[in-house]
Amino acid sequence: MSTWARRNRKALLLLPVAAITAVLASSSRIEDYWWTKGLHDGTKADASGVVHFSDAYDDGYLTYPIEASIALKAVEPVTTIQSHLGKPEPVTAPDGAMVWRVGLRFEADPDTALSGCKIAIVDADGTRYDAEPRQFESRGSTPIHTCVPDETPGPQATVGSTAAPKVAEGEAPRPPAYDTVVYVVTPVGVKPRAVRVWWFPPKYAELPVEDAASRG
Amino acid sequence: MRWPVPRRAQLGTGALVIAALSLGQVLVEHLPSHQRAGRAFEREIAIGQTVQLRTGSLTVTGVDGARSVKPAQGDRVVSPGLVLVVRFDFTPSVPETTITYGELRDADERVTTVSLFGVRSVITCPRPPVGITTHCTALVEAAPSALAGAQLALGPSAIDPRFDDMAVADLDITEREVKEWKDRAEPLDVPAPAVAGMS
Amino acid sequence: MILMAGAVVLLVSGLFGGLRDAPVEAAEPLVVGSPHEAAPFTLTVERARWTSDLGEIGKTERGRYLIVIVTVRTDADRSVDLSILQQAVALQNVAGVYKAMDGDKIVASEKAKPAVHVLADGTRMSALPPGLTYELAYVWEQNGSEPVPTELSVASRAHTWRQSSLDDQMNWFDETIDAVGTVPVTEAKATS
Repeated sequence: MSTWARRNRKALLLLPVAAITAVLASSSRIEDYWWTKGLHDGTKADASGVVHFSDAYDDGYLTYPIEASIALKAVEPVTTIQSHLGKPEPVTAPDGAMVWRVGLRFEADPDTALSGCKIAIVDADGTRYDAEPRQFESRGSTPIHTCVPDETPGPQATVGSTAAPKVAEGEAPRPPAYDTVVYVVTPVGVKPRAVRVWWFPPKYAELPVEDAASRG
Repeated sequence: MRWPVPRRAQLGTGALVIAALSLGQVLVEHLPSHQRAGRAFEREIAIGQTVQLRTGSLTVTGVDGARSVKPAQGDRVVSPGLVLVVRFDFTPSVPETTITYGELRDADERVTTVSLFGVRSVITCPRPPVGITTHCTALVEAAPSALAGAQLALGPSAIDPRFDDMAVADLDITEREVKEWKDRAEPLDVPAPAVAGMS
Repeated sequence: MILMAGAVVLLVSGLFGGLRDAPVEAAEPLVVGSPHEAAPFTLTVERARWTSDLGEIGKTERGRYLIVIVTVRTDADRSVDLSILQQAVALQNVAGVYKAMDGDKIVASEKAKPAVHVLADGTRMSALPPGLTYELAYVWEQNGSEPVPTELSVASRAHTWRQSSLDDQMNWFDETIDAVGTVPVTEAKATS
């Protein structure tokens, strides 16, 4: 080894470290344009298939926690949806599409605000199919909320206000454990690998679809 | 006053700094300019050809035009030039995506932009589930003089078209077609765009 | 010393307010029926009408609509946004004009935003495509407590094509009044 290299070996060793640190320090765009724009921070399920999910809402003025234990009960294709009166009503989906019913079980403190979540089915290729309103037609009864019961949604934040989320006047508190149902439209032939639940990207809960019987 | 004489090491450091600055200058001069580096990726297609964009696949299915059009949901539009009606299909591969922006580039390189908002020139593209096809229309008002040979660029990002890739379709319009469209007496009916299989 | 001078200049110009929209001393006359170049447009003020019933466009109970018919064309390379089109023609010193048709605020008429409709079919104008000449109706709403005007002072504004200081995009900015004229107003004939 030349004497110059030997004399400067500390600096030479630190050079790659400095280069990497410089690149990382100027990578704020990765956070703003990529990390917070998609689902990149997943919470996996435990051995029994339950995700203990923890996130928070923080807009600089109002902060509240979002914490729940989430389990996947069923993912099954449907061709009818029951109406309020219990009568099965046919489902009209777009050409080449099918409709899935996703059943979830939530366990959470009734004082935690949980409304306003999104749900998606993810297939083996990693393609994400989000549950969106009005993607199919049916006279059957479809729920309004995706992560809380329709009659007792629990605390909800008021849009544009910095007041903490609270239960609406005259509404009963949300039960500590409850089930929800959401409908997702995918192309025919999709094999669900997982169901994702999230409130604010990048954090999400990943619930694997283990049971072969609940696939299409 | 005696100027301090620089040591050999100081001279070496100085030379390295100048070399780094010069290299930086050369790089800046030869890298693409801010405008060019920021333009959208454009993929050229012909009518009937399907292109895979980052956000989904797009196919232009038909082009028509007239002095006056009557959209299924909307008011009749009468133009001093022509209203182009371009029909296209879009199948998203990424959630929350549909085509929201268009640019008509005529033979004189003049550009008319279209977006989701507007009565006369407007893109209507209902958002389908991922993997499902939707039928869309783009209505663009344009001067007939340079329509032959015009192209229509379509993309998913109206906020800033540079953020994503765009399909650029050669509309294959001939002078004869422009004349035919100008001579149409009746307003052209434009059916309402919809997700395939839905109304 | 230089700092002091700079501070004085700042103070003086600040005292007299911004430079935007001050009528240029040498503003040309805007002649009815004569085309006038106000970048990016070539516009001709044709005529003016007033009415309280514009059919499908609207009816007003609180006063009347002031309508100026303008022939407009652009030969720019790109279509021009509606907001630039709205800024191109302004009413000068007309009292009682609402800031916007769907609001209650009355402002100086130069600050009001007119609705722009295409005369041929009554639709709201979108962006103006290059190379086409349109007959447009610029519509303002005036409160009924003002007397019916017999003439209107109309001004045109010219824009400059430059880069935005915010996001590097090129657009038409710096609207300034460049020509002023008067146009007689008569009541619009009833439409069938």
